[in-house]
Amino acid sequence: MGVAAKPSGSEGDLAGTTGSAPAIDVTNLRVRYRRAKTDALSDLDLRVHQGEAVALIGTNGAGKSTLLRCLVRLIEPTGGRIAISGTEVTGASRPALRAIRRDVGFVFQRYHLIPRLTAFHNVVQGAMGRHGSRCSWPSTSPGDVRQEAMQCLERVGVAAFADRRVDTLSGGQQQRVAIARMLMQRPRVILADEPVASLDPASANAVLDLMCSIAAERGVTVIMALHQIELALRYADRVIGLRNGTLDFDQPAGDCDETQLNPIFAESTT
Amino acid sequence: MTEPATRTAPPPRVRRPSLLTLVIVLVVGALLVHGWTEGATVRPDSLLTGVFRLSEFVDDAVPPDVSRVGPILAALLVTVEMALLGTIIGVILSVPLAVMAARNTTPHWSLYGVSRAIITVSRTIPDLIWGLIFVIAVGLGPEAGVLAITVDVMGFCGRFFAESIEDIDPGRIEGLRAIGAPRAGVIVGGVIPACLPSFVTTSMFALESSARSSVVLGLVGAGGIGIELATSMTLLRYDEALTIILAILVVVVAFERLSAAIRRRVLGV
Repeated sequence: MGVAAKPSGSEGDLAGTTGSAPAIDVTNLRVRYRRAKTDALSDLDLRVHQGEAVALIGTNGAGKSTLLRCLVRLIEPTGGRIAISGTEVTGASRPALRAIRRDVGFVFQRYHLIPRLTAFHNVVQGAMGRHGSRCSWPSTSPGDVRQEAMQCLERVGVAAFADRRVDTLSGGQQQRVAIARMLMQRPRVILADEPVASLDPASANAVLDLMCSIAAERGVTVIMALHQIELALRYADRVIGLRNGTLDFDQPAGDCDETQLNPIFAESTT
Repeated sequence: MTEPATRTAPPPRVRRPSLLTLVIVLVVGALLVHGWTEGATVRPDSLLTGVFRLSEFVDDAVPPDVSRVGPILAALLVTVEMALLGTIIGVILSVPLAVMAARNTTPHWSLYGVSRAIITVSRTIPDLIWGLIFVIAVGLGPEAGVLAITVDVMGFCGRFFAESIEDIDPGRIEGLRAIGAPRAGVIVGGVIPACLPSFVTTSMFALESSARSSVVLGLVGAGGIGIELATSMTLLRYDEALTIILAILVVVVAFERLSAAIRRRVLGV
């Protein structure tokens, strides 16, 4: 809601660093999994501006996760081109890819924290992109990283659990820790793969509120895969529907209502 | 249309065995018969005389002779220390070996092949033979024993560490890779902490088996209590031998208790 006014404002202050290149630029993207008969994504084109909040909706298997993972090559695309903030992702060398991933925060449905380690430890690891392997353990991390990790935990409201093992925390708390770890990256783009699908409605709202308000504060681009149309309309500036690996629908969130979006879920039960 | 009702008789009592079953039975049978002719037997008459001879041994051995208990305990201490050092070195070497030998963390397929080969060779050659080999290499004494145990532990831990790395939830690694973490950071900060409980329990099993093998390694001159036992036996000092056997029993049981306690704590938390 409060997110709506953000894109124009943030574009101005980031213009110096990003130039005129869109935050995310995807052309003709194609993905086919090994041994699959059809493409998971076929000839997909997508352009997202810096500071935009985009919701990806679609059924299971529509290609939402594949698209998000592809953007940072956690899945290798079969064909096409991807650029993030003007930097080529497809064909990037290993170190170049690491540098791209460093600027892109990824939030997963199942949090993907390292179990048995404390919340603080997990958040410190978010600095590994910048500082390398020394941040894999808090005891060898520089002091400012440790300070920043505490600030990130405070920002997401779980500073009180810094010393607790993450596998003893609730789902909502774990997702907050995951967001804090992502904040440590100081990302320019946030990709969220069904960040609230494992959470109850109240925590889901709280987590999305948190993620989107942080993104708005810092002018960060957000692409989030969501299952709930209602949440997509509330938190995104723009809604994109995926069906069977192709772009089915693309409109500003203000221009669409739920009845218009429901077919995306209804028709694609193939 | 075949009607189910036409079948009145129950299924046959005995099914004809498959060809594979027949082959297995024939091969095993042939091996047993051949073995019997070669002396791999259990004959009632020799069992009977054997029991009488065993009772002679027991007569001689009881009461155990504790006059040399000092040197025996000293040798036993060395045995325990051999097991400890060998296990520690073996476990430490197993970690990088397992990282290379796990399909999801190996840096390169050639390293995967090499480390798998090292693990297989370490595991398939029995510890006593490693003992013999290292006695040739570094001479008689506990050092050969330590090396033999190290290699034995590498074969055991390398394999099970690698398996537990391969069983790790791929999402957790993906989470760190998405941060842009370097490969070493993913392993040190993610893979190893996530696998730690299974690493500890495996290491404890390795320690138990090292405690047992360090006892026997002395028999081939690789240091420790085994040499004492061999000497007492060849000198027919059965009472002394019994003291040694009892001491070994206590130590091995103690090791097993200790490792069980540690495993329970690690798994329980």
